[in-house]
Amino acid sequence: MSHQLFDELIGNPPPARVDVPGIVRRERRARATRRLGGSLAAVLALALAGGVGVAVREQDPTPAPPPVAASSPTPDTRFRLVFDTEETADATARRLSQELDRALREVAPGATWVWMPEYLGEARKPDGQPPTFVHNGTSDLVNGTSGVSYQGRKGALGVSIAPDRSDPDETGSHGSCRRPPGAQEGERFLPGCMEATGFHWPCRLPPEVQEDNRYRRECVEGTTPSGARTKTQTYTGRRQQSVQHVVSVQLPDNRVLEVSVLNMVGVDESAVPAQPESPLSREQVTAIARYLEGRVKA
Amino acid sequence: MRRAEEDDFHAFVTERMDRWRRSAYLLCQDWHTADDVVSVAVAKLYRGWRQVSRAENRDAYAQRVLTRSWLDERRRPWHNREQSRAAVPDAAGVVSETVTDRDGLAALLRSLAPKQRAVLVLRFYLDYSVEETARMLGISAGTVKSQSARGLANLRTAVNGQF
Repeated sequence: MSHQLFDELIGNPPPARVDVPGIVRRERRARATRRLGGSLAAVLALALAGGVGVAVREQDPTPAPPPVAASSPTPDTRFRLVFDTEETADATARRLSQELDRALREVAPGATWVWMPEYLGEARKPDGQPPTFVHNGTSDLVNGTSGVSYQGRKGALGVSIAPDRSDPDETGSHGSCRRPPGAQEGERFLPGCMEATGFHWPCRLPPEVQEDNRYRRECVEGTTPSGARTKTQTYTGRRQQSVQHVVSVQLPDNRVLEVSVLNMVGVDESAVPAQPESPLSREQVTAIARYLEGRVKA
Repeated sequence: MRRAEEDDFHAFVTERMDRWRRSAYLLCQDWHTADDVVSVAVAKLYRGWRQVSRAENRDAYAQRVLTRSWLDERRRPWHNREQSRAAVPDAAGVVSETVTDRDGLAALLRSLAPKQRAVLVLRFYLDYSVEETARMLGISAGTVKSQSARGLANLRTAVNGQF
């Protein structure tokens, strides 16, 4: 009887988007890369022990920029977000990690990456590693998050890039695709209508969405100097003293960049506010978002 | 991974895909997210397949990976501005006292913190025992009992005492 009610809620599942062969291919490649990394380290250690100089240069995973015209004063070092194959998606993810690391150093000199567990009981990893961005195969969605420490304050810094299929002429309505009751404002996708809607840019919530009363929300809409739409939100938890700044910026090719900083550390029930303020200010998060936006080209 | 292990992995995943997708959907009520969560879980299972295949109960092991993958996803900063709690909150969300249809069940599940929601799905849809559910979620059996109390009451009302 209870199963019937659950099954009614589930309805008829749509065709699965779970690409098992693709997942296996990625895992095999990742395993091979890890093995190769270990082998290179061993070779390097042997070479150094034998007094043989070996020059190792980390290769930039992104395709080389196009040749620059002679009259151009500076080369265009920006990069494109390419997700058409697993290899290009991997390269895009690695480049984002590098760019976020640079952005943090520029915006908050002295800030450091600190390890933050992905799950309870995860083995300790070294600090100082910028987040590894993960993507869903060739899906146009990538995100990365890590702990960060700045001037004695700690928390989590996360970046995500996702499709934004909102109608540029639309000013606030979700069109014919309604947000289901209970879905929280701030979620990027409306369940069941991701393809049709995309990111909700106005600060004003759609009429069918209730404000989440667990948080006090401050929101400012704007545009960058290049004309891209922005939304800057601060959520202050009423119960748990959480503080989160979320800056969203429109990217070329119908994408949305979100940079988020949170004052919480730990996972699950062990997560607590590290201090009353977030490790980075709203202005710093905005600056990181602008930096990343400036590094991405259409 | 040897060929035989690969074949075993593919057979295991194929056989359980529908059940995993359904349970993931009940957790997040969004098919896109459900498929993402299942994808993450499948990758983790592949990575640790030798350990999975040695497990006493492979189904329970896989379900634990799936459920924890969803909980991990909820912990991302952009999803989780305020953390869930193991204890039942003092005041539940605005949910009807009785659950008599799919909309009522959907509202009930959405009103719960992620782990509470997982408790209901594991206990009353997947039929895991209190002890198995506790092991999967890394919480005590007592917590499972207390977290399922309100949901059970609502569901019992819905199905006329069939539990």
